[in-house]
Amino acid sequence: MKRGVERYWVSALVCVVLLLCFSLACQDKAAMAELEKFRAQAAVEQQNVALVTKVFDELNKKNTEVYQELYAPDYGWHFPSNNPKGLTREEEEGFSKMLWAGFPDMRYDLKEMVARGDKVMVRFITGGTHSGEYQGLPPTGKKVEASGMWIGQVIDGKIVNAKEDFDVLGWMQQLGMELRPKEAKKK
Amino acid sequence: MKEYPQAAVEAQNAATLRQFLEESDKRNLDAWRELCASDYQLHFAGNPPMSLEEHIQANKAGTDAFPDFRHTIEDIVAQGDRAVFRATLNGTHQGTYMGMPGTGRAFRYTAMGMAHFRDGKIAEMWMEADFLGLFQQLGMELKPKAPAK
Repeated sequence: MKRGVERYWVSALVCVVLLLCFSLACQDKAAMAELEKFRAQAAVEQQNVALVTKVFDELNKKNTEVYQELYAPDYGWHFPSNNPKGLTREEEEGFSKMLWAGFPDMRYDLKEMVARGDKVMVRFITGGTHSGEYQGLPPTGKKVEASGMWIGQVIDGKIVNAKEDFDVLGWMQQLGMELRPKEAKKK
Repeated sequence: MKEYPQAAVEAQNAATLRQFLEESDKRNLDAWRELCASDYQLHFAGNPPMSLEEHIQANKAGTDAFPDFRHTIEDIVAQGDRAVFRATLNGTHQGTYMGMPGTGRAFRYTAMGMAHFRDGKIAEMWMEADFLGLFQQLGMELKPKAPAK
């Protein structure tokens, strides 16, 4: 009888130990899976930062092939950032060419980047010398510089959309423009 | 759930940045003194850096002129010691703003910001806004500067 009780306790103990081992292993597995997930995410974010850095580098070289290579075909550029109908990548290419015609030495200087999930946020300064016609303004030779922020979404190695706010007002003021009350249209 | 410890810090930073914008909507700018470091600096477009008190005054000048001024937060992203927001701002121009008497016009423009955190507080902020879009909606336009007389 006594032996029977002992046997009962031993098997109960074994059960408890086994259960404990099992649950610890599970917990460990869950923690490992979680860690793996974060590592994989961090790797994707690093790739996205590298991609966006390359895009701005190529734009600084005026390499328009970047639009075909690194932008998705249905890309939209929302500028200002709540502009519901984004410009297509072809339209953005036209916009870049218009800027380069006015400011042939124009460059983006990326100040810092934040990547989370499929989004990459860039804080940048861009500037150049106004040595060509720009938006109807004949060249002034002025050096201008202004800051902006850009949030891009990257899916499968391509930029699918971007939202941007930029100090257009500061840019235009440096070119000799100013804000004035709108004049009534003359007939 | 086990997460890597940074995730909790990032979630907290994102929540702090959200609260920062919401306190402006509640006209409770005293809260900014809790949410921001005492040596907080704002870098807005090409302007010289503003202190916390200067930013509070600038925000108040806005809400005095636009009593219904509101942020709609479109995006908040946090990573490491930084968090980013994207927002739409709405209001009606009822009082004098930067020398322009109230026009009664409603406006809607966009802004983005990047906050740097130190010890859970916003230590430094960079912001951009579509100010040209705002002023155009208030009835202004860009013209070549009149030559000095």
